[in-house]
Amino acid sequence: MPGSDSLAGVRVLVVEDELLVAMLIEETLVDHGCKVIGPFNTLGTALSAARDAQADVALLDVNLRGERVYPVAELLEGRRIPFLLLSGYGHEAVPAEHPLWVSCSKPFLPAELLRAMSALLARKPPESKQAALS
Amino acid sequence: MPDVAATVVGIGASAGGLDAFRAFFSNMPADSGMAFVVVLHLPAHRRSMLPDILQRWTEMPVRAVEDGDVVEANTIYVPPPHVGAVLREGRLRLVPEPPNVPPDFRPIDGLFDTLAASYRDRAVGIVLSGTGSDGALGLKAIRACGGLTFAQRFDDADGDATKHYEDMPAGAIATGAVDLVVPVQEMAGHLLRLRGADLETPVGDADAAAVDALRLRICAVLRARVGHDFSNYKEKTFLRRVGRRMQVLGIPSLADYAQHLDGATDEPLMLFRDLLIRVTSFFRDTEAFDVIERVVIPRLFEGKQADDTVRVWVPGCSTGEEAYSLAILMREHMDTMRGPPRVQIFATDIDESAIGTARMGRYPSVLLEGMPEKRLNRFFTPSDSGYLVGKEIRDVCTFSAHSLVRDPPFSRVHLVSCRNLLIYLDSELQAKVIPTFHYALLPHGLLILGISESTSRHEDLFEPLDKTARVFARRSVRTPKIDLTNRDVRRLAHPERSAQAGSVPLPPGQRRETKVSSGAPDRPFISLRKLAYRAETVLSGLLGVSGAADAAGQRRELLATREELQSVREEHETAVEELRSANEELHSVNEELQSTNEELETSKEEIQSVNEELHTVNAQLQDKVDELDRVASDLRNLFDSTQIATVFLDRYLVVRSFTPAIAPLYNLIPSDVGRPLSDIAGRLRYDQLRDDTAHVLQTLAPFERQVTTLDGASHYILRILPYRGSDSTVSGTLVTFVDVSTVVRAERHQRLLVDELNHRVKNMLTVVISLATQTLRRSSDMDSFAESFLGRVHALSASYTLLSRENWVSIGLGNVIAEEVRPFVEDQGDRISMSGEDVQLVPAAALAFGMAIHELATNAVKYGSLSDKDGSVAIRWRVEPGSAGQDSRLSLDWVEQGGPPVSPPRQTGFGTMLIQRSLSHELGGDATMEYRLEGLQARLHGAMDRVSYNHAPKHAGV
Repeated sequence: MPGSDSLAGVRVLVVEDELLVAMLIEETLVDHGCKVIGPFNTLGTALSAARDAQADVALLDVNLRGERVYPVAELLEGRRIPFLLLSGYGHEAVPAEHPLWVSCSKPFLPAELLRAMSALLARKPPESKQAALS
Repeated sequence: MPDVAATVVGIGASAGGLDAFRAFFSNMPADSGMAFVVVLHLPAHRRSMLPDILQRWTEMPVRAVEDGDVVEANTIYVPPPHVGAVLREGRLRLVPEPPNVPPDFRPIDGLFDTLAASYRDRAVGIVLSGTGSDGALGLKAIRACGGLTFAQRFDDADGDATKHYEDMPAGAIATGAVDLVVPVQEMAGHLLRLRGADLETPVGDADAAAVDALRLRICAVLRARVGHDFSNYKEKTFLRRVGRRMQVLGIPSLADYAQHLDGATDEPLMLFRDLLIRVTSFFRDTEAFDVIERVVIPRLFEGKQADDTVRVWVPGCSTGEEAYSLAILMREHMDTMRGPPRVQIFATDIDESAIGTARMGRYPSVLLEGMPEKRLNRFFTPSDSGYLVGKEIRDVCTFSAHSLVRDPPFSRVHLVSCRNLLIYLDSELQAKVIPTFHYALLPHGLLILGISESTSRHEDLFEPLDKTARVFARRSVRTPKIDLTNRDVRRLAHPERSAQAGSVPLPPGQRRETKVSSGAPDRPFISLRKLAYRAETVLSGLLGVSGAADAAGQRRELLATREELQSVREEHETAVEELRSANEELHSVNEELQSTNEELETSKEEIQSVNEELHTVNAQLQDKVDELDRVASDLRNLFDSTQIATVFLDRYLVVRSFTPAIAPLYNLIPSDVGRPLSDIAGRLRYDQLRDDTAHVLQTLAPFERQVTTLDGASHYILRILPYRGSDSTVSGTLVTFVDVSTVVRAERHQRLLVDELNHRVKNMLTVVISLATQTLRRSSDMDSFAESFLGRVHALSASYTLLSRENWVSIGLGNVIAEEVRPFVEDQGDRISMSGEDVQLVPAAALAFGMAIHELATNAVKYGSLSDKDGSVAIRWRVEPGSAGQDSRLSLDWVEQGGPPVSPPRQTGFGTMLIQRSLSHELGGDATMEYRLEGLQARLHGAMDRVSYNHAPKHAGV
């Protein structure tokens, strides 16, 4: 797989309440040499992880047992950790006030997920992100 | 089947008639058995509402008369406007009003006359409020045929005077043909009492002597009260009249009647009138007229030349039949002469309404019964309501209101015919009137009196010529001094003038004055007096010198006297000349007055009809107002009850009205009507009202938009429609607000549900993808992949089925287990045992436990105790209560035994991983697998607060 090497050693924070989906993501990431932080399945645990964890990127399921994951996303944005929103809601998963957030809609194939994550990491350079945010 | 009416009641009224009708019919029961024909003498110019109006007051059917209607009992008939109704051969006939309705059109008389002729003594005539004198002659006709007649009495006490018009009833009463004068409310009662009674039945007291005594007593009362002695009247006739009065008044015995007569104020007069009933038909008293024709008239015309005038005075002429009869006789006599003189008949009466009737010259046919065909054809023209006196007769007669006692008498007349008037006067008045006649008559003039009248104490003035016919000749003696102090002396010279001038109706209470006499006519009168004085001086001079001896002196005196006389004569001739010209002048003035009078009469009729029309219009308007009130109240109720907020605006957004439902949207109060809606604070996020209404007013098409309240809680469909007035011009807008909050909420909820469904479906697909991906990675071949994958999908689906059946609320653990193991136990149900308390699982727990049981069962079938024929599985679960440091949890044991010997697997399989992770990840629990030789023992734990709704974590804080 072409992108395998580039993802090796990347620390990925995973927030997903659906066990089987979480297991799939975890397995996929581990297969590509990523280090998985989580998966976390409640907003509370996800928030504390987002505050403290040393992650390079995050995968966030939008709907956590009926709660929205947006506070976690905002926290990560503050820490300049890029993240990918995972949702069955499609584009509406991105709240109107944050048009720049990136989402990947369910259902997805493992390859799609990896591609989206790679793209996110590729535009990661902190200075450019800062410029985009300011 | 309605009965043909036995008794028919004709009711006539004009001005003020509506009120009278109401009072009459409100009191008349619907089953009286009588029929009513109502004539409102009004030249109304619009569709008459009379039947509708009458119907409000009675339960009897009110019918517009159609030509040929049979008169049915208990029915009210109203002829259509512009049409008179008459009765012929028991059917109602319509007689269209002549074009340009003449002022003397008399629909009531027409009806009454034919009613009398058709129904005779079963006819009833009623005259109610009205102006003019229509109905009077009709009542007379009914009375002449033995019918019953009523006239309305007005009690000043009740009701307002403005609606009373007494002329018509008063005119009827004056004819003497009215049986009862009562307030209209009481008429129904009297009618019911008298219907079908035989009014002509004589009094039937058995004791002849007692009857005679009472008769004399009644005569005595009459003598005392009205000054006339009836004791010599024919007993039978007298008692029949009395009997009629008794019936009419409802008095059963003669004795009671005598008592009543003595006590009541007006009864003596009523009886008196009844006795002398002035049904003055034409040529009344054939014998008397015979004498008049044979003796009197030839004498009047004796020696008269073509340029002479025969003057006749008929005082007390009533409705004119007598005067016209005389005129006819004279006319007939004139036919026999070569150069007939002019004839002037002055007919006077104190009663103006009678004079009006007389002047009209229209008589009901009943009153002409017995008139020879020849006369009828020559002197009368048939009309719709009887007969009209021909012009040649009418021109001869001059009618005027005139009081024999109060007004100056006529003079230089050849004949005074005064029949049946003196009996109304007491002896004192009689004593005054006879000399008046003497004064009025020329020498050798004739006087005709009634059968029971005489010149009594004035034998010196008149000598009887024919005793039976009561014809008297004037004796040539000096007329005793007539007391003229009460009379208007200025009118002395020409009473004809005053008589005619007097026919101008004046408001009651105003004394009749004639102003035209100032100026020229006064001079001759003064000259006459001067002449008389001078003649007296001369005569006294003559007498004074008769004794003187000086013949020359006497001659001189005589010469002087002759000269004096000559000049007096000349002056006298001049005076006569002047008088003549004055007379002519007066004649022309009189003619002018007469035409003015006619004009006034016409105007009066017109005003009356306009007034009546106004009354009708008013009643109609009243109806409309009532209807409007009803509609307005309907609308008000609709406004109050409707839930649709509505505001009526004019073109400038000014509020015209609104419904109370507007309250949550605009703070409108009734006093805001008239203010622009844009000035009033609203609770809507909406500021395009002005533009939107302008758009609607421009396009005239309805407009709709959805608006939301400021707090966002309610939603409305705002609809603006053009407001069309009754003439369909657009004068504003109608703004309605329909509350669609629930619809909007439902829409949102639906969108939410759809989103959720999307989410779940996609989530589920993701789950299936991950199941497939992970199962695939651990499968050696397609068959094992298919088996595991499909089994897992099936397990998931089974749990979902259960959950959806329970509406995703909660589900018993036992059910979940049973559902999951069912595919494996179809033929070996006794090998799996389940026991445990009832635990209700939340959906996530149900799915996790369902998945775990599925994995355990699959494993048991493949490798464990269910893989051979002898093994069994025991599933037990319980809730472990919490203790210090430990929350309560659900504990489930899966114990296999009796199967093939078990050894632990070399590596952790996907199923085991799934079980462990789902319990820890989803339920905060754990799973332990113990691979004993006798069989697998699995123990699963789940935190109760994650597993079930109704197990709040205990000791959570410890």
